[in-house]
Amino acid sequence: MRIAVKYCGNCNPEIDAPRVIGQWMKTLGDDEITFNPEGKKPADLLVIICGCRKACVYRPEIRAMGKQIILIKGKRMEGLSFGEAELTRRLIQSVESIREKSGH
Amino acid sequence: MTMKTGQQYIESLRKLKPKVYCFGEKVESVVDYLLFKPHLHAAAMTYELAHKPEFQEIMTATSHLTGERINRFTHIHQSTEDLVKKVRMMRLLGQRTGTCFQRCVGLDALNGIYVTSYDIDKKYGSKYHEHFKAFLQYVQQNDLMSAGAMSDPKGDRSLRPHEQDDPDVYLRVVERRSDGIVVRGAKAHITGSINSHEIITMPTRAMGPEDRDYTISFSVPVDTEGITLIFGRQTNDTRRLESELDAGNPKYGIVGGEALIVFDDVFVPWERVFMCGEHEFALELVETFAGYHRSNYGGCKVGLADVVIGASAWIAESNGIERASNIRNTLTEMVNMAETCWSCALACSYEGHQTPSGAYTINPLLANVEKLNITRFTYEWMRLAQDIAGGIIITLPSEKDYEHPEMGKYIDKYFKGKKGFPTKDRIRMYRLIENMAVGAGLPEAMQGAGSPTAMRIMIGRETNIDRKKELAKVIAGIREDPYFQDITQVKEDKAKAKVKGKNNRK
Repeated sequence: MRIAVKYCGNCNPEIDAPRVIGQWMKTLGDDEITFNPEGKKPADLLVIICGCRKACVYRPEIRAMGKQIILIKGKRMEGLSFGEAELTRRLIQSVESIREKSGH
Repeated sequence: MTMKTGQQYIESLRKLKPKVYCFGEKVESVVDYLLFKPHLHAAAMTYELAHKPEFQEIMTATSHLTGERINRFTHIHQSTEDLVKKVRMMRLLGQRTGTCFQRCVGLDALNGIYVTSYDIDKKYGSKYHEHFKAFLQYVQQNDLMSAGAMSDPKGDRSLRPHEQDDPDVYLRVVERRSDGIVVRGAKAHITGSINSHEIITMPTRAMGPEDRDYTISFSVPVDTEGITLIFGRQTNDTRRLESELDAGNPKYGIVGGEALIVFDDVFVPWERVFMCGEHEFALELVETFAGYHRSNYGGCKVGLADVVIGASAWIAESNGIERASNIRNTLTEMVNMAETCWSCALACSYEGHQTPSGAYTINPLLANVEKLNITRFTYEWMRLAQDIAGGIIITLPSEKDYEHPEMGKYIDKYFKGKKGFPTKDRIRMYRLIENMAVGAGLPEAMQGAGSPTAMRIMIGRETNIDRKKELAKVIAGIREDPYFQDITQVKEDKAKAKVKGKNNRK
């Protein structure tokens, strides 16, 4: 699966976003990972990871970079709030769920 | 859809017959009661400016429910731009009234309940949000002023609501019926309540399972059967009945005009109930409302600062000391503090975020920092206004003496300033400073939207101290610094040794 990861820039984050992404990436197989994508061809999955709930990079031009999107807003994901370890676990779960549904 | 003018707003209050008491007498007409007039004028400004082309961009918004143009005081924030415009509106109105214009509390209640009722429905499948949206549309269509009523009397603060000797010191449900609820208790210090169309209640604190009956939010017309409002006093309030000159701000008064609202077995239909028993959401509503409300103060109080800074500068000029370095420095210091608070207001709005309901809310850490600064800086810039104005603000003779055929000439002669500044104008300005810098506006700035302690609690809760410790550990060399290692291309211990070696060679 072609996965893109977009960081917000982490000016004053509630979480250690690189650590969350690092832990999650250990669970990946042959996926193609791109950080902070700029190309016009959207990735199969775009993980937007923001340091806080402001989610300043969650903009239309960024969202266009992924066919499917997972958004992390600080400690929040899918409307719920978690500690960093649980957040990582949820990210892993969500990616696997998308993988299964999309057949990648 | 009607956006009322200031005059239409005042006239609309005639249709309501709230039970209001003031100075031991029942007020027959809120509109005609002289003591209330300045408060009505200040609130009317929130209506009037919405009709002025020069203010419409800030004072009006597009309803997300109907797509129609509405007064921003009835709007649910749809973007961070809306949040920014809201604080701009607060500063504008503070500048134009020099006092509290009261209507923001209801605006914040509307937004707080919009956010929280959505979350309650999501969990329980209830209909609160749907009911609230219908109510909101009614408010928007009729351009109503709502009094946001949060503070309960609280009784013994060491006890939770259900533990109180007198169960009514927190507003509570005493009966649940098929068509609605019956409530009893009171809300205290409620700004603008005598001259509002609606009263919107919210819980005042976090609630536990035993406090279910106290976990309520609803709206009722101000003249609903069973509601009594007892108007509160303010510093020098009766001066406005005696003398235009001595009142200081005769047109718009001092603070918002607060009242104790007693609910004596008041019936509320279910369509007007927006929370009833969902105790785990009480804190969310309190914090969401308080966040919005605290974010306002860097707007409205800074608008007041603009006025008092102008008054101080004018007085200095009328005394011929406007070029003195201490005056310039003092005015600069006042501006610095005011603009610091304004920066916080803008920052917490720009850093706002979308809630699951779709409405936007402010950055809570920055909003609480803003309000905590207001609790200090308002006292400080008002102290400096007193410093520039001098003791005359508390020693001036009355208007009656000024108008006296014999005494007046002495006052005119001996309180004269620089040529070109009539004594009467100087008295006006001194009285304005007295009104703003000595009276009830100060504790209002401290206690309104919550005490300083409430802000400190929120700041503590919203701050990640552990992360700051981690940052310090990395800089101190206790924790690994991967970026440093990338810069130096060596493991950190060796890189540090290298730096140490370089220094030694020097």
